[in-house]
Amino acid sequence: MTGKIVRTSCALVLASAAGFVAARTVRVHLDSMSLGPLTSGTVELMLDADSGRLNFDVGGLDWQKLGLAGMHLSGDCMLAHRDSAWRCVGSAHFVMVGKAKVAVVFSATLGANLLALDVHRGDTTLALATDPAASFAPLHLRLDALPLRWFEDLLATQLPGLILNDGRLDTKLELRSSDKVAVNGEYTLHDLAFDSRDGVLAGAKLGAGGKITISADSKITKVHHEGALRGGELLLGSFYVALPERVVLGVDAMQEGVGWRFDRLTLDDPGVLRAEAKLHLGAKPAVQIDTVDAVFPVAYERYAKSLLAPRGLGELEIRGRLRGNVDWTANGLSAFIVRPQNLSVKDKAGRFAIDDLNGALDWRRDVSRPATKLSWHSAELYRLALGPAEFDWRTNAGALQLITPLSVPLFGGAIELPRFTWQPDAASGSRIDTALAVHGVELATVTRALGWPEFGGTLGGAVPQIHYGGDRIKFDGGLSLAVFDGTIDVTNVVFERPFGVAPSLAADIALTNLDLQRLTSTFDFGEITGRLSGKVASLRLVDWSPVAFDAELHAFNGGRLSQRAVNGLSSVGGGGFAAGLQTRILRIFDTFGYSRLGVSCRLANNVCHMSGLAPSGNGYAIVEGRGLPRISVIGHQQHVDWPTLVERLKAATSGTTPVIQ
Amino acid sequence: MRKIILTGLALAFTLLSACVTINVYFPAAAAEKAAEQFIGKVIEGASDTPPPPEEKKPPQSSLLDFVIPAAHAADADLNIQTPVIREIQSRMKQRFDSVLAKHFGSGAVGLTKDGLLAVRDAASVSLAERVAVNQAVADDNRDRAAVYREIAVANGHPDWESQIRSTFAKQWVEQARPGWYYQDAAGAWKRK
Repeated sequence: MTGKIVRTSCALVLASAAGFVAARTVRVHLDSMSLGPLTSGTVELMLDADSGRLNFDVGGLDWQKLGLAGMHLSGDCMLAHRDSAWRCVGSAHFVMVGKAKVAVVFSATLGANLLALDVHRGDTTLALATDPAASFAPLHLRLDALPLRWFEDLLATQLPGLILNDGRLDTKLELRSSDKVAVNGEYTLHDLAFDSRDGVLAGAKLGAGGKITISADSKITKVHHEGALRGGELLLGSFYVALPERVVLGVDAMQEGVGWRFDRLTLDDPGVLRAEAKLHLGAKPAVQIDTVDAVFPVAYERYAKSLLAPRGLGELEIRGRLRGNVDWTANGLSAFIVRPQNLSVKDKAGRFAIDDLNGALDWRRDVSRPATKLSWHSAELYRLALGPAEFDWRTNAGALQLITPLSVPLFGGAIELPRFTWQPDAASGSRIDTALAVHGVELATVTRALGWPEFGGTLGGAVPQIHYGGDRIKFDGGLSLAVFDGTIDVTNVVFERPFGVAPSLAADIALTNLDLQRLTSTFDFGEITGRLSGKVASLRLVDWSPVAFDAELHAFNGGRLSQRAVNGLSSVGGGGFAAGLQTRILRIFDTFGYSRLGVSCRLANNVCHMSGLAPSGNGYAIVEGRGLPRISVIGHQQHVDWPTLVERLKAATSGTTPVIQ
Repeated sequence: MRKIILTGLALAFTLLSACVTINVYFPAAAAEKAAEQFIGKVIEGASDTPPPPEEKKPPQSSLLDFVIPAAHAADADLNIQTPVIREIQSRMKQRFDSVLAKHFGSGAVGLTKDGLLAVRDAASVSLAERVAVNQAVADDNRDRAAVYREIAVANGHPDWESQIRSTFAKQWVEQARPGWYYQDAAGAWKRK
């Protein structure tokens, strides 16, 4: 330690001489003492020359820089002269303000070129050594198994928001202190556990180790660290990680004024995640992640899952590799390059999946970037299966655009994106601009994929613009299905919470001139001939089942009903055939003519408000007969229980008698 | 002769039965569905004291009166019971029983003024549990947002969503157990 000054006043100085000393006891009294960063008040030393026992008492011990003051040290040791050095071995008591007395065992050595102090308490060792003769000699410090809780108060002043729960430190350091402080050495941290007062930061069983160099003067502090994190759990807000045995950590940091600047921050979890970053903390925070190399699935399970799970993306199966870099400034995202390599993502909840994503995306704010390609082998959106696709992208003046319109195979036809522009730094709701077109989709393939009774036809449509925001996507334009020799038009489609809880789909559907014969034979409801038109307006599906609609279906140009269809219609009413003679007569005829057919149902809150062609008696007419025998079907009940109605319709189309419970 | 008479009778019968009327009796919806308390079903069994019975006018009418003409206020039905809402309800109940109940009691989790949950005191939860609590709160909030939105839409007034949220928030607080924390209108935490 440099600057060692021993000031005395009114003292009896101990003669340093080996040999016989005339006096039996020697007393030394110092009013104050300063030894490097330590200063003290009164120091009392008493030496018994015969036994060599030295008693000492030091009061008012301060270490200003660490904020320690008013400590008291007293003890005794056996003084001996050996190998041209004085050595004192004994025990001492140490008291800090407001704390219990601490008992330690120590040995102090003073020689020509050596001042050393070894202190033991239980398993903990503190060893200091320095060369008192050299003017700028370093202080060698060794700590073994030092419980960090001993420094609770010190840490409380330096880092007030943090509560230290556990931790042990082993370290071997070299300290130099002149006009600046330099610390150089290695350390190992065991079982560090801490909590922040607001619960945002927490750690348990954390371990670390490595080499560290700190240099600090009045203006700048520099830190250099090469080492590794060794296991433990870390929580930062919603980010949680259970660290593996070894994550290499390299840091070059500097503090100038208020903020910290990390010129180099390297993290390497071998085979899982490697990242190199630069960080600015302070007035204008900025993060520049120069390299990220993540290998899945472990990188997801270990690092990303905790951040994605609260957003509903906690159940993903990811394989492959992702590389890239990202720049953030105080103004937000300013650049990124993303390079997936054989990346496959599958949502276990079945919402989406991408297989074999490869290529790159390159974006930077406000400028143009060279073109890149991105491709996938297949993708799935709910049960929509998309074939292979290749996207050509280019960033033009800060907007990432699809260079050529994209066509992706879908159920025997194709879905096209005539344009797609993504502006990552725009305000939410105006980042994506796109249009869609669908053509030639085969309904036979679609119905098979969805598990419905199979029917043929084609599907096409155009969506010139999508609007999105607040978890809703609205599609302008619509789809048209050429099916059952007529058309079904779907417009005003709104998709809400597409990947969230209970996704909801709203639409208006119009049916024009559908061939009832084909329709009823597909759904196995007996046979009804004629042409069906109508609407299902304000349809709302929540979790893919209807919760509301305003439907009206009619066939005004006449046709015929088969006996089975009539049976089916009546079974929906719980089997209310007029018994007796009418039944027997009805059995004679195979088909019955009708002139008009119509039914309406407005569904709300699980209740279907039904009506028909016209009121009739205390019900409403659903079918008006024609010719002989003239049949008429009258519906009774205006407020119909929807779930039961659906059950009965299902049973009627599958040909079984419903069990009414 | 007999043949003619029989044919004639058969013809007469056929003519008589020429008009066939089939009456279809559709299944009736229950006239008055018992107002199942959404919240009661989620947190039932959390303590010994049962939720207070509804003796007076339910809060939804009084709150909505201010913003919606009185004539419509009574129409706002907060107890929409579709299969999806029931499914969300049972998921929330399960989440409440397994994770959230004890953290409500300890004050770590509280009810916000817009009908959602918030982690009020993260430090009181051990590190291992904190991740699960954060996740449960995020999942519950997503479920709540979906329910409030669907109830607003089912009432035919999607623009009522924020009123419905604050009405639900009031109901949650009313049915909260003693010792739970909730936010008042200004956002300050209070204890029941």
